[in-house]
Amino acid sequence: MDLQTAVDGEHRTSRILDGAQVVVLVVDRRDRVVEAFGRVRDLTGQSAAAIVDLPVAEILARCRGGPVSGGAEAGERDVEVRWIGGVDGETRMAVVAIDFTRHAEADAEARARLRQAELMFRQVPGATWTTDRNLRITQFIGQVESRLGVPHDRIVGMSVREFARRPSSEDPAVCAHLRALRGEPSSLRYVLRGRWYQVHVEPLHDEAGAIVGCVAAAMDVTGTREAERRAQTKEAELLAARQRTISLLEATIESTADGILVVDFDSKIVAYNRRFAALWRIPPELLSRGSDDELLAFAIAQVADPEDFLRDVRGLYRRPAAESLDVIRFRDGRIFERYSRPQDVDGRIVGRVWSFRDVTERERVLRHALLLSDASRMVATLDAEKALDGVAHLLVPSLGDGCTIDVFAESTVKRAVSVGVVHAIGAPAETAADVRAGVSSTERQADTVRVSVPMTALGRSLGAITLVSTSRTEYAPAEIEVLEEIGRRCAIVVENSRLYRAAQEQLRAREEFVAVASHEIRGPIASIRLAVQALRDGLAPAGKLVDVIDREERRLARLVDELLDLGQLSSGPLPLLLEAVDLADVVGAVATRLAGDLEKSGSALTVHGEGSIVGVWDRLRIEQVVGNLLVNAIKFGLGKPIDVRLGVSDGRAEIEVSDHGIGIPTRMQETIFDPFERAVPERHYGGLGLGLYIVHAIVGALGGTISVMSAPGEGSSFTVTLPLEEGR
Amino acid sequence: MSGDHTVLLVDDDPSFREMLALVLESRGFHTLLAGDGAEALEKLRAGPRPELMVVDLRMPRMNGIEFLHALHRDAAWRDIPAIVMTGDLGGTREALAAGARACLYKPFDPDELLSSIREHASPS
Repeated sequence: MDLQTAVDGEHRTSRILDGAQVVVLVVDRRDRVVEAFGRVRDLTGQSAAAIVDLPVAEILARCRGGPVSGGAEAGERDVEVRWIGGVDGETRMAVVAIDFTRHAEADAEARARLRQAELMFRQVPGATWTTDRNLRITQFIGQVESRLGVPHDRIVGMSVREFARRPSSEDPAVCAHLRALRGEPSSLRYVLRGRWYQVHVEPLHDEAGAIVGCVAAAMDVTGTREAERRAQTKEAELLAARQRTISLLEATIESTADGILVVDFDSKIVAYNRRFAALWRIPPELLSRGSDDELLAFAIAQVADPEDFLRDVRGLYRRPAAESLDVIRFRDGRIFERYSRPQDVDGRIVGRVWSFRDVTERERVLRHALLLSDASRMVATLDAEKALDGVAHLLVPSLGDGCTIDVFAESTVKRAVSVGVVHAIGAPAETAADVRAGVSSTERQADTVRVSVPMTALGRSLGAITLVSTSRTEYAPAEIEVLEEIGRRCAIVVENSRLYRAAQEQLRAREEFVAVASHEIRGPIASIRLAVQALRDGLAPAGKLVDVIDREERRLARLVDELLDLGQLSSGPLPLLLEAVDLADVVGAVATRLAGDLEKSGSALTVHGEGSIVGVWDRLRIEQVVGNLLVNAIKFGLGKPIDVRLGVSDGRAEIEVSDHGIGIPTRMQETIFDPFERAVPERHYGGLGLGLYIVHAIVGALGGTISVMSAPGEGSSFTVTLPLEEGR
Repeated sequence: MSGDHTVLLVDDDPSFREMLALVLESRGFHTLLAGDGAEALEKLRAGPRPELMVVDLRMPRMNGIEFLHALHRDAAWRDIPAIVMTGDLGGTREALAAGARACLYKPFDPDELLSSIREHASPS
């Protein structure tokens, strides 16, 4: 090799060495450095030249001890030394290789892992630790400061006992560690600084298996526990709500007016409320025995129709899903409404719920309302007899076994209706005095009870409704009230019927009057017409025919006067032309005027009483009074004698006109002075029938009186009195 | 129709009865007179039998309708035709139902009555 080649090779080697982590030291026999190559300064801190002649051992120590250069890590270095024998036998070479790379990488990796583990443990909500046999913490990984309030670097070496909440011998965590020392692992929940931990402690064994301490792990379960507690709270709340609901239901069931009974399909009583027991009047001792059969027997004994009751119940049990609503009638008159529906649990029918309501009062009110309504419908007529009969048939049998309705007249009682069992009701005349006075009365006899209510209208008692019952012991006040109301409505129909009859009678009388007036007026006209014809035809002597015409004309004039008087009287008081009038003169004048009629009738007239009787009256009207009375006496006197008596008594003039004719029926005597009334309406006796009405009106206008005494077949006697002085 | 034909006149108004008789007799009728139904029955029983009756409806004791009913009950008089008279409109239907042949309204002309009598008198 030439020099150049040698020099080139040395440089090449030197560059290679510089690139590696290697130092080559050439050492002489004295072990001192002769030459140095490579990264000398990195290793020794000095240049290659500076270490020449320095002992190689010192340089190697430096290599191992470091720091070699600024910034390098302190501590021993992994240095590999290889000795290579010398080329010339004088020197040898120490090749020192330092594995910087491996060392630094391993170190960095370990640190990274540690940091990661620490990070991990810091984030895991818990910790793990080991202790020695004295419970001193030898290792601790996990959250310390944030949870335990102890700095990280101080935890190792502390005793577990220092964290005890109680005297350490009682603290469950300490006890768990002590048990672990005895070889028993244990778990526990532990509260520390407001957090809950699930702690697991186990013995820590060495390689030989001896217990040298404890190893433990704790996990923060505060969150879990709160969730658990929330769940528990929720459950408790649900339970409480359910209890509230149940108590509300129970209170509702107890406070309802309905009696409720729940029965299963074996007919066993499952539940009932107190109202049920009260409604069915079940004695407490019977309830406490709890015998279903006994209870049923007790209930059935009360109902009016036990077989019907049982049949309904059995029918419903054959149809478990059916609902029903019906009415139970009791022997004592009570009425229950019975509602039944299946009891189902989640859609499955397990029994039947019965609900009972006492509707006795409601039914009574309804029945009475219906009764009143029916009665009102019946009395909506003018036919009192039919209405009263309908009402009596309504009251029997709904309120009694027998009913009579009596109608009071002026002084008599007429039994209008008699329905059902009425033997216990007295005769019409026996109607109690208080009922006549408008007050209801009840009376109990051996086996009957009787009630009489008045039929009152406009404050007058018009009749009595009497009811008798053989099955009941009394009439309730409410029933009597209903009867009294029916009585009032009946009274209205009785009164209306009377008024209607009176109105009809009046109408009929008017029609009759018009017919009579027509007949009376057409009669003379017909006669006059025939007389005129006879006169024309010369059928009879003219004088005779003219007399007929004259008589008939005067008859017509009288009729017209009467009609005018009627019009006058119905429009107001009669106008009077007062003057001194002598009664004897008037009677004489009238007797003369009627002489022809008297003669025709065959009645003889006798005037009694001498001398004049003078008063202040209306002459023509007095003539009308005397004339009408005499005309009547002639018309109805059957040709028998007629007497006129004149006199004075107590300052009043008296005129009495008597005949012995057909007389006037008693029932007609009250009404003969009314217009359109005639004692013999069915028979035509001529005239308008207004005579007595006009007489009565004139006498009244003059302040006098008129009265009649009569017996049918014996004649009539009319007496007029008139005040003598003008003092009316 | 004249001569011995007899008519029974029943009316409570003597003047009218008298005038009616006067007119009928002037036409050749014999007349029998009665003041009411009862009297008319007496006249019938006493005879002679009239061929026709002229009867007022409104009369005392026995009125026209009652008289017609009474006639109807007796086979001897049932066939005698009756003409009724009235001064009002009431009773005519009843009268026709009771057997009256015709009804005349007062006042009427004598010819009116005579034609009615001719129409209803039983053939002799």
